[in-house]
Amino acid sequence: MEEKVIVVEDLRREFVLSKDGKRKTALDGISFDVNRGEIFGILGHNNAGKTTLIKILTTLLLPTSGKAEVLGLDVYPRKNEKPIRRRINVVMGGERGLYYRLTARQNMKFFADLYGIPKKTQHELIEDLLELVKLTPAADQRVENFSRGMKQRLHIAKALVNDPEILFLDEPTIGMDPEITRDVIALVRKLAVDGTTILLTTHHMREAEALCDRVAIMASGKIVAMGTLSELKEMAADASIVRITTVMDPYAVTLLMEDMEGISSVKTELVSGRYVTSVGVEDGRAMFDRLNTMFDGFDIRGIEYDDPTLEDAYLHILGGEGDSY
Amino acid sequence: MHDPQWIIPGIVAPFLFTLVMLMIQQDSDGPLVLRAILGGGVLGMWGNTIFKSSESIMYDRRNGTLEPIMAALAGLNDVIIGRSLWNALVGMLNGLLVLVVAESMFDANVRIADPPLFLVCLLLTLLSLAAVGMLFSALFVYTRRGHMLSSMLEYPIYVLSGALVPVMLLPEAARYASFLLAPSWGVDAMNMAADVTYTHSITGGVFINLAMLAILAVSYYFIATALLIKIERDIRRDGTAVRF
Amino acid sequence: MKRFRLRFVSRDTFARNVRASFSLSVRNTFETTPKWMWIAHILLTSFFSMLMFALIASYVGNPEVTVPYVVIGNAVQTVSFTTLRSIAEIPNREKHTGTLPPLMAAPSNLFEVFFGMALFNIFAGLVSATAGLMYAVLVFGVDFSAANVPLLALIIVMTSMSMTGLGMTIGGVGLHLRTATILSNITSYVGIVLCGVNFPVSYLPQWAQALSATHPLTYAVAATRGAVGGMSLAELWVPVSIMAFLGLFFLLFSMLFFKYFEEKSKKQGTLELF
Repeated sequence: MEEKVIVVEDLRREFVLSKDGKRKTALDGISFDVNRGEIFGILGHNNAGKTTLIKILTTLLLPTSGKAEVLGLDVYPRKNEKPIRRRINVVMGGERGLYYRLTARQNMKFFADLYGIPKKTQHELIEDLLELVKLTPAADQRVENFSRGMKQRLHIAKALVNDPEILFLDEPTIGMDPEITRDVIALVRKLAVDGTTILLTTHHMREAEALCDRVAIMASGKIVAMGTLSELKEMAADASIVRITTVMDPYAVTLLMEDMEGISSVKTELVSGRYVTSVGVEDGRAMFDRLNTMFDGFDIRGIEYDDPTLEDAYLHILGGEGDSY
Repeated sequence: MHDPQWIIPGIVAPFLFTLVMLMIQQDSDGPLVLRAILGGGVLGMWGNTIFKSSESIMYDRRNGTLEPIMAALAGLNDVIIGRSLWNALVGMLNGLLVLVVAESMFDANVRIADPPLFLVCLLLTLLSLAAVGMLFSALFVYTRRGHMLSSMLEYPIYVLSGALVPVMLLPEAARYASFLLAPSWGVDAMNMAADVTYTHSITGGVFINLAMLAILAVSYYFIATALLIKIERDIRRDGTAVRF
Repeated sequence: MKRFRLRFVSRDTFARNVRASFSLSVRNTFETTPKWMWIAHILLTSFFSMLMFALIASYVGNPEVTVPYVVIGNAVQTVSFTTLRSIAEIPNREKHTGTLPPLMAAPSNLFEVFFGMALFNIFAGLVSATAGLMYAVLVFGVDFSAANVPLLALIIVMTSMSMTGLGMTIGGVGLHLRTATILSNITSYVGIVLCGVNFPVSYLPQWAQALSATHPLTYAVAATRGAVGGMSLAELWVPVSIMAFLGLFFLLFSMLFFKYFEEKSKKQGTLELF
């Protein structure tokens, strides 16, 4: 049996919003496990509760109720804080959270000290980590001169100083250009191959699809679906997807389609100057001709069936709840 | 920044200095009380000017609004003139607050000998402070250590301003430095207008003082403008505005 | 690419965390500010603050508040600016760089990190107090012929240390109330009125005298005046030990406070607000 390094059962977290006791439920009784060595993705829109979950698991926030165990240790008691923190790490990312007047190496060194890395091994460790995130040439530059992507890579390197058994990544590629996103994804994959368990939150379907062994889809503090990529796609499989590429924006038609019988989801994306409309339908063959006619006025350049992607599955599962991102 | 930090140099510190002077004096009457209370007001105006001229540019650096300001048609110069005037005005309100609180707290008997003339001196001092503010802002655009520099300037300027202790009673070297500050002439003039027994005036004539003030303030204005033009060019060349 | 597996768990120690944060804060200070400017700031500020009050004292002419009286008082008061105020600013500074969350996520505790960062400011306090006393002798002509110099040195060191405790407490409370800068400034400025720096504490109303009794600076100033006048430790042990006690008390208080702060932000999820 696989070792479960994260066990969450019926976890709830509420926040008091104002003095008169108004509360907001950020996590509404969620349950899941993560196995050692797995890349587990939490997928959801903003405010779905992803960051709250990460904070609870990294001992930065206490749950309101429910169970949360990390590496077999309950996150509630104060005495478990340090033992957990020593064995995990977290990338909260963003522009802040680094000493911007100091160099990358100095930042690394400070956190290596705080995580109790012996002086003897620090030097080599920091060199290796900076190389891993491709920051060696910039190691002695001040962080304030770094680009966003460089800062993010430094955040990741910093989070690896204690060689964490579990690495938590909160939206690791948010606001990054595609090239850096690719780098970060490759890096995360490499860490997983080396045996690090990874829990990441994201709202990028492609990122989750490229990385995760299993995914939980969250909405409004609840897990609405969970499983391996193929399992999730399976859930959407009763709906086939028809993709229609048009020259003109088929907005007028898609608006009408929302209420039509037999159509589960509609989404239009602009891809290299063409409008690609993905229509989730119950029976593709029956709808094919009908859709062809409906889109006729928009100068169709292609129409095809496709297996559902994670994105399709996501839209299907969230149904009315998920508008296009 | 959440903290309204300007209240420290603008209100708290000047008020405490006034308090110290009044406590040392142990008497709520006489010309020294007038000096302590007026002096606190002047320090408030000065403190505000020093602080704001560094803070506003630091704020723009942090917020990344320095570049949009430079890109705007109005340019750095106009924005800084506007801000300096506004800051001087706020400074006067701080000064008034210090004055009112100190006066009511000590139940001091403060009478202004020639109120209209006093008011004229006050307004001109205010304008000269705006010119100082411009000059400092221009210098602070250049450096990322505006805060450090401004806090370094605080005490020397408190001494040189002639606010609590008349300029003519300063050690000789300090006195000459003080003559270079336009507002010092204004403060001296205010003292003459407020107190007929004031014997430490620099020139003995309010209008000579005001003329000196005007000459200095106008030169600040021109120096600041020249500096800002140069700075704008330098920043464009070196691209240092985006960092903070 | 070399693999970097370590798979070990090292005990974090107080000494290590303090040392790491100390060197970080030294680096951070001198990356921001060139050394000459840092020194110049201390030297200028202490000189002009002494000059200002010396001028006021001589202008007002109260026989009890002489120039030497305020000069010594302000030489000690400069520690309050360089140590107390800077230390109280530390948590706030971390908040602004956004490094509070990663510091809290690390196994080290906040108090140790902040204490390490504060150590450097003790040194700064020593520099400013020494400079202040030098000015007193060389510029303001205060008579040091009878001074008990070793005791003076001890008092200055203890002053800097006791200000650390107060600074840490104010920094913690300020972080909590989100008014750190104002609070630290007010506390350091209020010393010029409250602590017998510029006039005897007995001039103050009763309630203010009670406040001044809780401020380590009050005892630091009194002890320094005594040592300059040639008194011995036996004669000055009361203010000296009260100062030490207050310093320790505030340090302990801040330690508990940071624990409480960590717990509270964990419970209420207020971490990102700070």
